[in-house]
Amino acid sequence: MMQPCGDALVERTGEQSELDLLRAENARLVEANHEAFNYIRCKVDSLLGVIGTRGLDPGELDDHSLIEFDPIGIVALTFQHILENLQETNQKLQFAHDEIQTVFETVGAGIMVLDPQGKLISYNQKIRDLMLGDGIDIHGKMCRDHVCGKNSDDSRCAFASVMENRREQRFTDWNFNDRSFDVIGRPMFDEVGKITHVILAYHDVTARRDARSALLAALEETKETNAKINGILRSAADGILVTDAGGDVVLINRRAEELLELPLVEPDSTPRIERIRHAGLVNLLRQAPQRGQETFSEDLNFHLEGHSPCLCQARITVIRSAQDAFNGCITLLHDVTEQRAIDRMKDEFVSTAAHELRTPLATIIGYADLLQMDNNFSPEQRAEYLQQIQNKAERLGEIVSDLLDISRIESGEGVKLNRKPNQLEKLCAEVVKNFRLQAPGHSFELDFPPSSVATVNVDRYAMLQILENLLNNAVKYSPAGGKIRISGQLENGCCLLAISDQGIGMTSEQAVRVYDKFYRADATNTAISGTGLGMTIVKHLVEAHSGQVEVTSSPGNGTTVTITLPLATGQSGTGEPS
Amino acid sequence: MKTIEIDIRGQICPSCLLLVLREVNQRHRELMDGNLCLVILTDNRAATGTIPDAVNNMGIAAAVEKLAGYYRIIIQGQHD
Repeated sequence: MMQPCGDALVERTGEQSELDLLRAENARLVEANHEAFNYIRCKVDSLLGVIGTRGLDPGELDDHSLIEFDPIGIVALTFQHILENLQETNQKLQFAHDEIQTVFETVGAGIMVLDPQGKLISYNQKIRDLMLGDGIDIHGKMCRDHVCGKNSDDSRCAFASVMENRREQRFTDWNFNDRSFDVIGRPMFDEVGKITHVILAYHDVTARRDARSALLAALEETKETNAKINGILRSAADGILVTDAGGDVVLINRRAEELLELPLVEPDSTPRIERIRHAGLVNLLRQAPQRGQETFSEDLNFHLEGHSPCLCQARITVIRSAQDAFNGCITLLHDVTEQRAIDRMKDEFVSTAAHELRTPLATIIGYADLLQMDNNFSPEQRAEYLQQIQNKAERLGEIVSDLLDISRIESGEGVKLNRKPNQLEKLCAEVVKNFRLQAPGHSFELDFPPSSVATVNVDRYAMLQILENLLNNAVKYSPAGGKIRISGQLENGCCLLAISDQGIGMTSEQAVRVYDKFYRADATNTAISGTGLGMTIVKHLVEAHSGQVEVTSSPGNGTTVTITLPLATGQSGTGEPS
Repeated sequence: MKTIEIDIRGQICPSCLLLVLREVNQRHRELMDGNLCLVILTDNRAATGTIPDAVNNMGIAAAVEKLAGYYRIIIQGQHD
């Protein structure tokens, strides 16, 4: 309730009655109260306007209720709470600002804040370290003048791109001062969608770039090395096959592909051992983990379509992990066809040589025993027996000579020749003379027309050995009574010497192999003696004279061996001396 | 949590705002601490703007739900 104040007292005038005085004072009080309420309402309306609402309608709250309700007190307390809340919010904002500033300065990336014109508002320490250097301040300056346009040879501008697209932009491998950065640009908008700032973050990826380059170089080098290794493996003469514990073929070279008839290197497929068309090898690979041997080998026959059968040694090595777990197998397929054939021939040779050595030895021992046990032989008989001993001893000497010759040739020592002009006709006649005595059952025909008479530069003893070996074969492989013809002719500056027999002959396959060491075309016929070295020695000796040997033969039709030797210097090759 | 419902339907702003502010002033701490939920029922549309704005400025959350013929303003917890 409003109380009367001093201003409401009215001074009495002479004519005024007491009642008039009271009435005047009351009017004054009512007016004063009315002014006070208006003042309060005016202040309340002002305060309500501050908090965003309209003024107080007097019909809504009468004067009495206005005093009771105390809106000024309510609004004042509300303001106090709002102020407290603002202080608290400011503290939070300050903390957040400090937090952001700390992150801004310590984050691994360089960060720049630009205004919409590209002017630098702020940047962090990382930007100073990476792009500016000590003592350079570019606050308020245009970014393009100090960053993009100055030291970067990269035409991409993250700021321009953000301004143009109005959304986040990312550039990878942006180059600046020989360094590489991943750049993220992001716009910041005001409440009406206008760009107020552009934030650019530069993440230094130079180390990553260098590492990637090094990795790519290493990868390239690995590829090259791999290609080289593959090239070596693929072109290796032996078949190479690597399988893993699961039965997949992880590596195979060309030779193994051929041998195993595996359509390998199919794109996008890993061949498995089941597809290897060789049951023997597949079995070996399957048994490998259980065999208890780290390496084992077995000879396997391969019959390839369109090829001669071949024999390969499959050498299998088991791969095990550090924990001894089975990891697969490495298989080498080495073609041993020839080696095994040589082994066989050597075996045959040992058998043959033993036979060859034993036969004359038996004769020598027999005659020697005979001469020791009985002294009653006539001088003629003793002379004959001694002659037999000498013949057989000479035969032994020949066999040993053959062996020494082939050993010398094989060791690469070659043949030492003492070449001198010789007439082939005379050398042939000399050898044939001896053979006529040694093989009286055969007839020997010498056919050297006058036009064939020529001089060749040969080692006399080597030539005699050639002729003896060839005539020996002709005698051995032709029946008694057979004719052996030795003929000569000149052709194209060479002397051609042919030795023909009417013997058992050879197939073309046998004829091809006749020069192989220890090879004997008909090894089953033990009645025919020989070491299988004669033709090998012939070929070497003829070739040492720059000549050639050719064998023509067919089963049942005899054999002709033709030797071609160059004429001595000054010979015309037509049979007439030049 | 305690809930107090104040029905000020029939009253118009600003008196309904002043009524709510008086209640919020008196129970400010409880509201900030989340121990009290003040539910205001009003049919004055202007109040659905002025009341949430004022209490938000005081740091208290407010949500408005429209019901059949009136509004429910839920005042509780801290405003983010």
